[in-house]
Amino acid sequence: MIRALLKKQLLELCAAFVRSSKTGKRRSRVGTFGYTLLFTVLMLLVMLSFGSMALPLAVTLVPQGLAWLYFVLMELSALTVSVLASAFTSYGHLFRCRDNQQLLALPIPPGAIFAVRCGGVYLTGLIYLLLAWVPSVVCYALAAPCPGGALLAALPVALALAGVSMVLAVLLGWAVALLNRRARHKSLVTVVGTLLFLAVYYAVFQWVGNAVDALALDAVQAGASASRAAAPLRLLGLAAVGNVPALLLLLAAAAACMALCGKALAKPYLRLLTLEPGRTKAEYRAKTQKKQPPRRALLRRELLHLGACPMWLLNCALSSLLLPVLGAAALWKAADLRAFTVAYLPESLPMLVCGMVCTIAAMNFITAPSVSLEGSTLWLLQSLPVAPQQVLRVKVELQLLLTLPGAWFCAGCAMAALRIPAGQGLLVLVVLAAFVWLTAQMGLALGLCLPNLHWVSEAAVVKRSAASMLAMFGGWLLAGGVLFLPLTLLDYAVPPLAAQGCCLAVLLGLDLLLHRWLCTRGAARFAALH
Amino acid sequence: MLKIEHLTKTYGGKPAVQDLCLHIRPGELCAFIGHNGAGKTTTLKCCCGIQQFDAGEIYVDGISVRDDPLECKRRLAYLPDDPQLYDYMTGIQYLDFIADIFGVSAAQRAQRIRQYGDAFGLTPDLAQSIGAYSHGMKQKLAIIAALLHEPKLILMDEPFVGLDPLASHQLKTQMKAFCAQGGAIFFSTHVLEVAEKLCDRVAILRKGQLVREGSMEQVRGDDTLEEVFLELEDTGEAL
Repeated sequence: MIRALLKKQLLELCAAFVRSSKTGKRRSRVGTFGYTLLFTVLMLLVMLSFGSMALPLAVTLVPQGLAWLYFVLMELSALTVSVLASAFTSYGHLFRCRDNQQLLALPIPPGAIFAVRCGGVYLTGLIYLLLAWVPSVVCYALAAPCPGGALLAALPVALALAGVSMVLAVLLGWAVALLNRRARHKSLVTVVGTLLFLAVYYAVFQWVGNAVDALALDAVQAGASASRAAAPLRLLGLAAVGNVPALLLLLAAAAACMALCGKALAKPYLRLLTLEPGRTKAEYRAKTQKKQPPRRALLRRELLHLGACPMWLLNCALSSLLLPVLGAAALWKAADLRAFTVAYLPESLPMLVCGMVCTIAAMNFITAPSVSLEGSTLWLLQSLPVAPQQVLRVKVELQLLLTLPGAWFCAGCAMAALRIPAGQGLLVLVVLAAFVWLTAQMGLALGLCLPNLHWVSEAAVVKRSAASMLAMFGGWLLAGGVLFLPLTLLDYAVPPLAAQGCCLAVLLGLDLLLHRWLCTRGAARFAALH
Repeated sequence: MLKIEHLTKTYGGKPAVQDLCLHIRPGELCAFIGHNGAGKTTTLKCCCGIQQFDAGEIYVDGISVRDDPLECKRRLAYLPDDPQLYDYMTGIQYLDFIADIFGVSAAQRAQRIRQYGDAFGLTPDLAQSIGAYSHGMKQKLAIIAALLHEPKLILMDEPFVGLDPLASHQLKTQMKAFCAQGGAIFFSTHVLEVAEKLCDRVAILRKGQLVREGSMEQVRGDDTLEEVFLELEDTGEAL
């Protein structure tokens, strides 16, 4: 039975590789190969970026006999990536699947459903963990004279860390489910709960980071020996180096955590999955509703949809929260910011601000899963008298509305803190607008080219879809372009305003091209989706 | 009101509907019957512009669905067999959304929501989230939404599935009243007794081809509709 459930779970996870999410039909061999290749290239790109961070650390620490310290740092980074990736989806993954009733109607113990769904969370966490862990091990192998032990230990360490990540994610999902039973505004509770969890996680991570810094200082001064207080962290590093007792200890600790979590939560799973607490019925009072134009009605619908889908909100709209917070932080720590940027040329500062804000704004990719999230309700938009272009335009507008004000505020604050002249500042704001428009259109175009209307869990389109991943990494790539293109032009003695003007021209050119595509082929694709 | 001329629709080379011709006039209530997979849903989806078709032409109130799909959609309402609605909206939010899209004035929408909501017994539940609705309640809400902008043509796919007897009776009454006012309804059903009692016209589809079409009396003759349908299925007789 568990095997059948596991097979179903794996089929769900790998569905995109073997089945076209657009037509629901099996992919051809070429299609499967192409999709796998695309996925692999994307994964390799992410691994390369992690590798570029890991390599300098490895060549500094490993020759000094501080391989364990290198691994502590990399293990914590990999764990963070994994926890962040699975925490946003665990609630949906465990409790809000479309096949809940179908599975509960079958003679399957709820504990088995819970175990298999935890397996799904585990696999998601493992995949994200490997993105950071594999390059860490490869960099170590490049820097160490005999890396055999670490290479052998790499897989067990990854499996153990993924277990820890799963336990944290499952606990979060559980807490959100418990809160949701009583809450009226479930989406709000999910979002706030997850953000609180992340804040606590970040605080703990900072505390551990500080401990690691102290440990590094201590270890360097005392020649690779460390204080007793940091012994558990040292053990974590030693396990990855290939120290057998430390490795066994790590595996045992991870297994114990998973077993405890499973034992404690499997039994009440059914209750939480099925018990709908009696809600007070909202009373309907007829009131005259003001007539709104179709565009506003569509925008309101998009907003309601986003607000009701915490997974979408948390994964694809986090920048809307981050940007104002970072803007305020830039004003608050203005002196620190000026001290940090003192080494840069004053004329390059607007470009730096613009590039940084673009990088954060690129974390908003609301449009990418929006077409797929229409799912089985797509017939409504297709049967109503609204042009596909209008529907697509509203989806882009939503992302602009939720990203651009925050991006402008953040950039405005940073530029005020850095005392950037108003003329250059205005150009930065225009470049930002062009960038946000471009990322919104790019996400939508990807969503139209790689749709998935037959999902079981929202995580499949928000988290695990090629459209979302490409939109996020593509956005970062574009942000890199916004940062480096004007800086490169500056090196060739192009005046700052002209350099930024060039960047703006490129962005606007791409914007118009994508706009044209969305109005013609994109709209035709949307109309033909089923 | 609805004119289907030589409609052909294929899926990957396999014909789903072949050379279908049908004409439904204002005031007519036409049942569309056929076995599972006969092509009824495909035909209805082509008529409301959800699905593209390979050949032929469809006109709604004289306007080509292929040339001006938006104008056609303004004049019709479509009700699918399993109306998946926006679970993240309340019933009243959904009706307001539909009314806004069709440009229904504030006064008209308030009056119609009250009228149809009361008729189908859904008014007390309009403030609830659609996610908490039963299948039947969703069906009722979809029917109210379909009637909200006073379309000229209503296309319905299995409209009686999931409705309780009272709602089913209400729907039949509303359908008759709608046609009496000059509207046309084209709906698919497997409940032949309902089709026989309710409709003045019937079209029978078999493997994508129209095998019998005409007034109920013409098609049925001295037999029941069920007997005619079963006989056609056995013989595979074409029109």
